[in-house]
Amino acid sequence: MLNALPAPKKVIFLVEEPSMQLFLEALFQQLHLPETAYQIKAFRGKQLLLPAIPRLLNSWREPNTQFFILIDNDNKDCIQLKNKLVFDCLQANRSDTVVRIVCQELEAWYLGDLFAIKSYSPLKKSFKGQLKQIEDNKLIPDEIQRPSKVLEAHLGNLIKSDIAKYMGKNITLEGNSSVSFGYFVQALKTVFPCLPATLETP
Amino acid sequence: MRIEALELKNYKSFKHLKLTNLPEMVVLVGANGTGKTTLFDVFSFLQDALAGTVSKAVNARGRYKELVTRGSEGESIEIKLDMRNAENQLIRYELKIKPNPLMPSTDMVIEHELVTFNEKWGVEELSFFENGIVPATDVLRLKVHGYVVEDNHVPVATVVRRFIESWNQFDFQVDSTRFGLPRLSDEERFLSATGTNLANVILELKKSNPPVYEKIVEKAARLIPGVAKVDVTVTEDERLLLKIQDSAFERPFYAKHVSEGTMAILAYLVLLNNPNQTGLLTLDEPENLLYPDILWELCEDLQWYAKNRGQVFVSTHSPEVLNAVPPESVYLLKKENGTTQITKAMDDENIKSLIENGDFLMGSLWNSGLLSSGLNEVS
Repeated sequence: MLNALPAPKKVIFLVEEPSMQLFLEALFQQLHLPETAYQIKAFRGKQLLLPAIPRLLNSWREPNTQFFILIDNDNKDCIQLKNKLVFDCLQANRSDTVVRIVCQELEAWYLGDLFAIKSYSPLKKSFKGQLKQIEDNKLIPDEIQRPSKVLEAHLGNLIKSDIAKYMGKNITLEGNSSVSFGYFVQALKTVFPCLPATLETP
Repeated sequence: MRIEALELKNYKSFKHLKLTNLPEMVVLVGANGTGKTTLFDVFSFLQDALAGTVSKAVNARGRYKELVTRGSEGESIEIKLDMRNAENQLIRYELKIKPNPLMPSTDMVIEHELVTFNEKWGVEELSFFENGIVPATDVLRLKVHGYVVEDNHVPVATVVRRFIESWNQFDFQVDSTRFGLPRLSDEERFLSATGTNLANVILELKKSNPPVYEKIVEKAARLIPGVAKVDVTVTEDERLLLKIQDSAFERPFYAKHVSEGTMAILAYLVLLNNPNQTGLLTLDEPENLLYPDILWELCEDLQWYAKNRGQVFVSTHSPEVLNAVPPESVYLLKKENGTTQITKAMDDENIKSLIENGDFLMGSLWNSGLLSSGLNEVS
């Protein structure tokens, strides 16, 4: 008798703010993930997401679901943050919850793919400072305190939702110089078994 | 050209207001009665004074006694605008008015009116105005001198006059019957202040700019459930009918049977995506009639407009709008002792810290009662 594989769980993403949701939606479209495979809940700030986590995880009744929490580190202690969240998930009997920390904010992931950034918009200033260091592989984006400010310095004031949608659609999954993005992509492959082991953008 | 700074004295609830370094998008939030609409009224006032006379503009606002700040009767009303053009040059317009001593209850007089133009290197070039009371006229010198165009050169007064005239204050009147049956007139390339010529503008775009028309229809289809197509037909007696095709049904709906919200969304899409629409924009509570999710897209379009077409001033009551606009664009209004104070939200260290830490978005900060200008206090 053949053993049927268990049906993949629907993944419910809990994110800090709508621009992350827009990024993920565009990314998942790029990866051709079926829309039934996931759901994204965007909160309006970290202080609204954090208390909601134990409540949602405890009360969610839909069967065959798994939570995926994506939260910015914002220069805090990322190990402590992750441990605390993992603990909350265990308390709620949701040990299969995936927790990934963005270091330090979503814009670091953009900076990890300079090719995509340059295709988004012409740079106001020539590559210098931290941006140059990233390009020369002397600095990883995760180490930058305020990557959004670095982006702004080189691209001018950005429309957050616009760049989120663009980067989600165009970001290359392999070879991004942000370490936290790498961990995130690895986690995606675990929760979405239909994704190939290596994800080269077509 | 953008407004960089604005200073008011004795204009209604603005005893003394000074705003500097205004961003490309300005979002005003405050409790009812704090003066959000008054700030927009300053723009209308200048336009009215330019189109007619200062006296007419003042009298239309309840005359001097109502327009001047309470408790400051007898004092002059002052408006000072700093404008920056594409060449990064600064132009200042100053206007000071007071009641005509000979006919104080009905007539105003221009006490001072000046246009100054600063070249990039700090050289000041005065234009042709002099100080002094001119009792005989309450016509803006901007109007008198603002129509001169010399060979190869547009004098500063004309630049300022054109700028003021180009301001667009939108207040959509979502009255379905009016939208449904406007008269067909000559080509209409941009929306009127109340938006009643929506069908005309859509038709014009369909004819002269199909890619933009398609883009608007595609956005409408994405934002409004059930909308697949938007079209305009012309009746035999030359009236325009706006038709909305629901994807589930064969027969389209005419505008007068479609919801107000749908019409509002269409109006905003046309306003913000029409390349013929340029110039400063003021919008009062754009969130009216729109459900929260759609506000993100609207605010994105507003930001795009502010970047590429003209400065945008918005007044809002909506936390979701506050969430969706750049934090740097938010200005808080508060009434103290009957006069309005405006502060930039991100100038407050607490607000700045909470936003930059990602702890809250501006609207959720407001919801949590943490916007510290006392917005939640009854004025």
